[in-house]
Amino acid sequence: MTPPPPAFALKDLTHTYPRETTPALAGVTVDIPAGETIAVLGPSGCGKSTLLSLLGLLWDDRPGWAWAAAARRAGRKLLGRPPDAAGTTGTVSFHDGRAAHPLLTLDANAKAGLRAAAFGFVLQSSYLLPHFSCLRNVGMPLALHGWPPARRDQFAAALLRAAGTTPPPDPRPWRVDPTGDLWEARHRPPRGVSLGQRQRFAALRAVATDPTVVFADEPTSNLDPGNTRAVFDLLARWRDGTLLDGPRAEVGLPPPAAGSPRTLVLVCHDVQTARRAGDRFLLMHKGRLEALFPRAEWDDRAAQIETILGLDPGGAGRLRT
Amino acid sequence: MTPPRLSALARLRFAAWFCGFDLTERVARPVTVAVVLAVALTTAAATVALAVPAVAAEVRLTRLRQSPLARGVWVYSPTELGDRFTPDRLTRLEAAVRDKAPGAAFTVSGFHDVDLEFVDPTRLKLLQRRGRTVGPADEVLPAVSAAADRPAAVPSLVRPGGGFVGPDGPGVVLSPTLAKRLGLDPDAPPPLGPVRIQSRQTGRELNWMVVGVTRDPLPLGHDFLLTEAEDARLRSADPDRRRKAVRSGPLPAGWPEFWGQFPDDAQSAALKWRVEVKVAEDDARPPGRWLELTADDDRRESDWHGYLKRIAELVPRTDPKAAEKFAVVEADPTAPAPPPEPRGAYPKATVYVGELQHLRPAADAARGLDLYANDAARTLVDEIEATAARAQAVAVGLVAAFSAAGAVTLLLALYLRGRQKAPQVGMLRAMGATDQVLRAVVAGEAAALWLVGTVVGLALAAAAGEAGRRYYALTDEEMAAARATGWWVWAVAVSVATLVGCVVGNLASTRGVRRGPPAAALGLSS
Repeated sequence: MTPPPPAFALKDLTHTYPRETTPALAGVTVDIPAGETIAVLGPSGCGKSTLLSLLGLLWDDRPGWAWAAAARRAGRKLLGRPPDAAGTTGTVSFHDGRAAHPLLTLDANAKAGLRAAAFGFVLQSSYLLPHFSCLRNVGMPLALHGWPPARRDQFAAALLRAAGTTPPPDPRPWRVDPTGDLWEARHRPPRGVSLGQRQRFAALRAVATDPTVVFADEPTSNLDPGNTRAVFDLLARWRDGTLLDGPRAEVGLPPPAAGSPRTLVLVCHDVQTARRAGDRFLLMHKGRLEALFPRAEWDDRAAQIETILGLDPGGAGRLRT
Repeated sequence: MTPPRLSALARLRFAAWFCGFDLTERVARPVTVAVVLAVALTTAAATVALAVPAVAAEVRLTRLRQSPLARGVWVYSPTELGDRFTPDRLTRLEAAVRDKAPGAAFTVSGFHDVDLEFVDPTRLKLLQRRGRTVGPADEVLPAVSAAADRPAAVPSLVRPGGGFVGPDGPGVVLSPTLAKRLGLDPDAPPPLGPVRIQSRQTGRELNWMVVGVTRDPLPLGHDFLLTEAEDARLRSADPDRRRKAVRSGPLPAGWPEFWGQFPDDAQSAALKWRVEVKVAEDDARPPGRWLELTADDDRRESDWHGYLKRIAELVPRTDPKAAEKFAVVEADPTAPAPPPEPRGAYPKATVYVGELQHLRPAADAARGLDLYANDAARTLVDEIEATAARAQAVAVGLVAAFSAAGAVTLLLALYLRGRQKAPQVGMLRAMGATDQVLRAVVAGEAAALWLVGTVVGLALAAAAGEAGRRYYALTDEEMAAARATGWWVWAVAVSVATLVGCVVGNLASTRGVRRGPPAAALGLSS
């Protein structure tokens, strides 16, 4: 049996931000498997969010006015400074289950299309649009898919109901009983709900289009343990396909193709949260890839993790069995 | 799900839906309000500034066209003792104008200047004012007449509800300035009430009924109008203007019995005053003798007093108190009032023209007869047109300068708004919004801001126009003329400019957010 293609295939990926001389990513080569939760670990400034930006097509090396860039280049030359090393080199290939996409060579529209079709984002701040109700925020990605308002509201409402439905017992320790409070708060603007509720609405918005990959950048760093567990619960239910079955059926969408892999790329400072959530771990340090290892090897890598993250001995914890 | 492919219509639909909510967005609301206010004030100020010169000029020209008084050339002899305008002379003037302006509609009328002293009720002092008469055949008369059968085509010179009842109507019509000075309410229904005037000759006071107030100041610096009949009544009601003979008090004892026995100085003075003097005696009254002084023309009361006082000074005084009694002017109270002296020919005349362009030929025709022609109306037309052109140029320059400053402010406000909304735009981009969608959203928001601002601005401009209409009491004809200036072209031009400014400014100020990396807008760090 042929193994499924990796979700992302990175080869010698190097990235330097404008006006920086040190690359944020330096020669990263790795295959990120599909259908798993990949937790990216590393100290601050190691390139975690940069990696997420590049994989999630949130970075563009050629922003701004062309003439301004040309003037900047000419100015550096005039002042005798070395040419700007800003830019991205290497290759990044994304496989959505049907075809591979070379991410670094896509044009802006293709990137936008891929983001809309295959990616979802849950970031440190919810970035809910403040002038729309939470329900409409959840349905916003569907608006960009051209869904009419009534249908996307119907789908978003079904999604909220599904999020509030108690799922079957789950062995994972962060499972909580949903309170159903999202449904109650659906018509409020984001400023009218709690931070944890906002982040859960943001998680539902990220999975509303049933993307292939959800990128989560510190999604729970501002949340209490209960809401942290609730956010990961929603993402886990999206990954296992149970969250969207009801909403899809309610609006008449066919179920997704069997075996469609859903990948969660999680950037997380909190090593304990990452340890609980991740199926596989990507350890980074100073822009370089130190290791990519499965959950089973956590205990063996604990010392390395503690060293890189600057934790006290035992700070990485042990896997619960 | 498959990648979305939004059609142009779908993009517009999304943008319209999104903008509907986005305009009320709370974080950027102060800046949103600032943008709307900037657009509104720019639209209102620019529209008013650009439209006012042409509108004001057209209103003034319309008033000139509608006012027969203002549409005239005033003609009089250049010498003080020049010939008066007899009917023959008016006919010659008419023929001369017809030669200079063939086919032009015009009329010629004579008028008298009337000097009066009005009593200022608040400051208790006299106001020297000059007015003019309006003759029965004067073209002005229908415009100052309040008669119900006045032809509707003749625009009224007076405010509604007042004026002469006809050629022999009583009362006076005042200019708004004089009415205000006399404490009268120009907007009150006529008659506005009596005003006190003072005889120029004697200082005696008379009451005079004000029957109307003109809508505009009168030309030639005149402050009031009165019919010739009223002028005659006024003159007949002033006893001092018909006095040509008086007598002194009783001659004191010891004075000469005949005028020929009076001192030579006194007789010389009488000759100088052009006064005939004789000693009269009457047994019917308390017996005594007195002097009778007679003149060929009107004399002031003070003049008569002066004559008698001077004579008393020239006679050797034996009894000063008796001399004072002699210097009292006495008139026969039982004497009937003589009919008012006919005015005769007019000292001045007006050539009223139908069209403003005939003012110059009319003035040339008068000058051809060696008359002085005051064609201030033509000068006024030239001045109005020149002023309008200059004011228009200044307004365009000012609006351009202020618009440049306003555009910078607007761009800054839009840029600030764009920066405030950067995370939202970044999130939309993360959700897959293309630049086309975002452009539609940004342009739609700009258009919506512009629409609200423009509606408010045009409402402000309309309010300013209405305020101007009320303040300047514009008539329907003047408003029609104002509308015909095409002021709306400026409103459209300003609105289009602000629309372009809003859309281009919003697109430019959000370009970085729309096309830069979403990671930067979302604050993703390394």
